[in-house]
Formats: sequence, C-alpha cells, structure tokens
Amino acid sequence: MQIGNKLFPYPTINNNILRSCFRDTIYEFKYEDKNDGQNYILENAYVDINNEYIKKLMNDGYIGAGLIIECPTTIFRKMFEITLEPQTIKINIGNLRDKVVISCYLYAKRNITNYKDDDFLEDYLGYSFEIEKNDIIAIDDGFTTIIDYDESLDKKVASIFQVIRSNQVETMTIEMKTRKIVISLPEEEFVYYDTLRKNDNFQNIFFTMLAIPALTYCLKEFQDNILSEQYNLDVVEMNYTWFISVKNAYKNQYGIELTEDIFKNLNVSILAQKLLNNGILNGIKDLFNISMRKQYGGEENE
Amino acid sequence: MNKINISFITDDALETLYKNSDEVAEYLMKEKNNSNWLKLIYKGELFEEKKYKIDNISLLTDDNYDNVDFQNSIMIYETLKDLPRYILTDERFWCWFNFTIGYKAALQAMKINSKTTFEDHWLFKQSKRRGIFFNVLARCYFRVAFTIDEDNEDKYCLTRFVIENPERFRHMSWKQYAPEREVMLGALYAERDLVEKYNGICDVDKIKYDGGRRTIYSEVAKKLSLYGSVRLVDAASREEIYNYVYEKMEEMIKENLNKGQK
Repeated sequence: MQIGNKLFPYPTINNNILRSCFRDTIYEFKYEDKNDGQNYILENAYVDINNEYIKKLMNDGYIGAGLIIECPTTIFRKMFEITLEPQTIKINIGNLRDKVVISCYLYAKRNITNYKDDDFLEDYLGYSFEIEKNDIIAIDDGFTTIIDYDESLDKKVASIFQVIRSNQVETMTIEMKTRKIVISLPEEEFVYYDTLRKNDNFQNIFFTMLAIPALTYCLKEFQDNILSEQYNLDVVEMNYTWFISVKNAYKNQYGIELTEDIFKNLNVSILAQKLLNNGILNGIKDLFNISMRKQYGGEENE
Repeated sequence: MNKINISFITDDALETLYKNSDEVAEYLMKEKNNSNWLKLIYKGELFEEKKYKIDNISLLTDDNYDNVDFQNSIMIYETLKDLPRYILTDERFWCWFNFTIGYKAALQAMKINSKTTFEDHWLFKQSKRRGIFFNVLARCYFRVAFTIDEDNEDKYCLTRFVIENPERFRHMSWKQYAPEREVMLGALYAERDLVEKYNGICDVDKIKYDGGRRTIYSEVAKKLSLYGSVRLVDAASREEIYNYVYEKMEEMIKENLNKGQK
C-alpha cells in the first residue's frame, strides 16, 4: 500500500515532510529487517513520533498503528498492529516472493471529535476536525524490498542459471537478466550438454565449464561498476534478483552479510567457486574418478 | 490417497509454449484426454519436480462443467491449500497442474477456441495478477481461498455464491484490498444477503450501468476502493465493511427499482 501524494480532507502527518500538514512533527516507522531463510523478520518495529498530542491519543486508544506487509506477486497482504514500543514481526517467507512493500500508518481506532493541534500548518491552524474511525492520521509509505526464496541453498545458487539453445551464437555467451544468468550454447553443444546434465557425476564439471565462469563474469561486472561508483549493491539487488541468492549463499557459507565493503574487496573468482560447491576442484576430482572407472571398470559394471 | 510430488514446468518449456501458442491451441482443441503431445512441442525436460507433496486427486469431469465446478474447486483448494503461497501464484506450477492432474477438467471448464484463449487462461499472459484470476484452474483455487469462512458452519457458502456467478467476486479480486480476509468476506456477505433479500423482487445480478458495460458488482468494488481512499481499509472490521457495502449496494438496488417504476 502506498499513499503517495494523495490529498486528505484533514491535516495528515507524513514521513515525507514535503507532504506533511504538520510543521515540526516527525513520524517514522523504525525497524531492522532480516531474512533467516524461514521467515521475513522485522525486529524492533515501532512507531517513532515526537508529537505529544498524537502520543496521548495513541496511549488513550484513539489512534493505532497499522504496519502493512504487501506482496503483489503472491497476492499477500496483512496488517500488524504495532505501538510505540519495539516488537518483532515474523512472516513465513513462503508467503512472499519478489517485490514486497512495507508501510506503516497511524489510523483512528474510534471517532475523534475536535481533532486539532498547535503543530498544524498555518492553513489548518485554529481549525478542528472530526476524524472518523479508520481514517488515516499519519503516513509512512515505508520501503520496498525483494524477497527470493528457495528451500535448497545448494540448488538455489545453481538455479540462478538458465542454459538455452541458440542458433545465433558460435561460442558460449553470458547474459545478465533480472531473474537469471542466461548462458547460451550453440545447437550441437547444447544437445550434448542437455544429454549429460541430468547425470549427477557431471554437475561439478558443468559448474566449472559454464556456471563458474558465468558467475565470475557477472560478479566482476558488478564489482567494477561499484568501484567506479556507477551504482551500489542495493541497485544490483533490485535490478538482478538472482543476486539475492548469492547474498544468501554467502551468508550461509561465511556466517556474515555480504556488504558493499566486503564485496568491493573480495576476489570474485574465488567467491564464484566457493558458492558453486567448489566446482573447479571437485570437477577435477569427478573427472578423474570418471576416467578411472572407465579405464578399470567400476560402478558402471557393478 | 497416494501422494505425488508437485512440479513446475521448466522455464525453457514454458518459453516454448509462449512461442508456439497457436500450435499448442490446436492440440488442445483435438486432444481431450491427455497432454502426451507436449513432447512434440518441446523435446527437453518438461517438468521439474519439487519437494512438496500433494494428494494425487482425480478431478470430476462433465460435459456441462457447471455441474462439477463447485466440487472441483473445493477439491483443488483442499489438495493445494498447504503449499506455500509463492508456489500457488507461480505460472509454472499451474502449467504443470493444468497439463497433468487438471488436463481433462481444464479443457471442459473452458473451451479453447484460439491461441488467445490458451495464452489468457492457461498461461499468465496478461500480467501475473490477472493471470492468477484468469487461469482456468488457478482461479478455482483462489475463488475458494478468498471466500472460505472457517467460522461459518457452512464454510463454503460464499464459495458457492461466487461460483454461481463469478462476477460477484471478479472485480474485487483484482483490487489491492482483495487479500484482506475481513474486507472480502464482509463485502461478499453483504452482496449475498442483498441478493437473497431482493430475490423475487429484482434480479440483482442483472443490474447494469453504462450501457451494460458495468455491473452492480463492479460498482461495489469501486465503492470499496473509495472507502479505502482516506481510511485504512485493513483496519476495518468485517462488520464495518458489511454495513458499508450493504448500505451502498442497497442504495443502488433501490435506485434501479425506482428507475423501473418510472
């Protein structure tokens, strides 16, 4: 839910001071958001407001605060009551996917007669208003986040790639799309790939040949652009949702968030290998085992 | 009942269906029993299995699909209701469902006349949200999911009401407030009570505006949006929504009756 610059027939407080009908009142929804892989969590979520009249109305039960979590992709929308005191809100992440909008509004929990405040802008000063139940009193259109989710982390990093057949290319090509990294192969090589890819023995080898170079290429591109201040890590995350999988896998593997500072300084080639099951080293081992089995007979003959 | 793993159609297969929708529509028009022909359209891996399991149901079929629409909708809902929402709103899941478990029923539920019917009602061609409520079997699921009232002894009473005439629900389902349970149930109970109250006096379903382009239900959906324009509709109780919709809709019915008398 987003109110934007909608006009109200009475003075409203807005987190965006340019849209607020109050002079010095500052209203904000505070939180720390987290994703633990099972739940999307808003920790220490509370309303911060410096207006004593509004605070009194809240404490007296005339005004409530509704935190709305809305996900257009999954048609999910739910309101949580929050207060002036911090609390934790959890949403099962299976309900959310892609863009999620989190906003917070103060609203009348019952009719308020003679609603007036000394902090009204001049146009409203001296007037009082009749506020009806459920009328919006204060607006914080909040923020938008991107949620990606998969139950299997290993598979997840692998699943950010899409390998397709293309009669337009003569070499392997890599393309960064919003949801996937697309790797195109010429017709003949695609058929070979497609025949072998279901065999688990070849997974690391394909990681080595296709996925690791593709991921390295994309991460290097991001790193270069961030270092030259073309854009920042947030922009990467918003424009390339598959990058969230990279961040989640990084956190899972290293136990810390992949921040912009860390990203700027890491070796993207090593990161790509680590996130894809140490594919190059394991690929060499797998290739050796396959070769030995072929030479001396093994599982295939058992 | 046997359990089966759910699947998604693969991204490549889905892309191929979009690119060859005319050919797919032709197959759908002539192959009424199974979708084995899909292998001729896409030679690679068609479906990708997921970890979630569901009952292996058999949907009812009937040449007059209206006879089984309600039972099938309930069956689909009860079978799928424990899946995460992100799966239930994914085009790739419904593609798998329609081409496998739901194939025969889906073809009976909506006659395929052209590639457009296929694209609009089997794929999510017209945006994700529209896709969900247009998709031939996804919409059956959501009609139940959005109307079930666990507190009512007859928990599917509103489901029956909207399946009887989907227009009663369609316009509201496209609105942002649709997932707010109390809003949807409050509005539908008001609609239902008024349809019953005026039964024999006037056919509420047939009240139209703008030369027949708009129905009383599209107007109700708009009035609710108006209600939410300065109010936090999410905070409203079912009773408040019920009273609001009841009042506004009854005004429209009375207006229509008065017009008829003049």
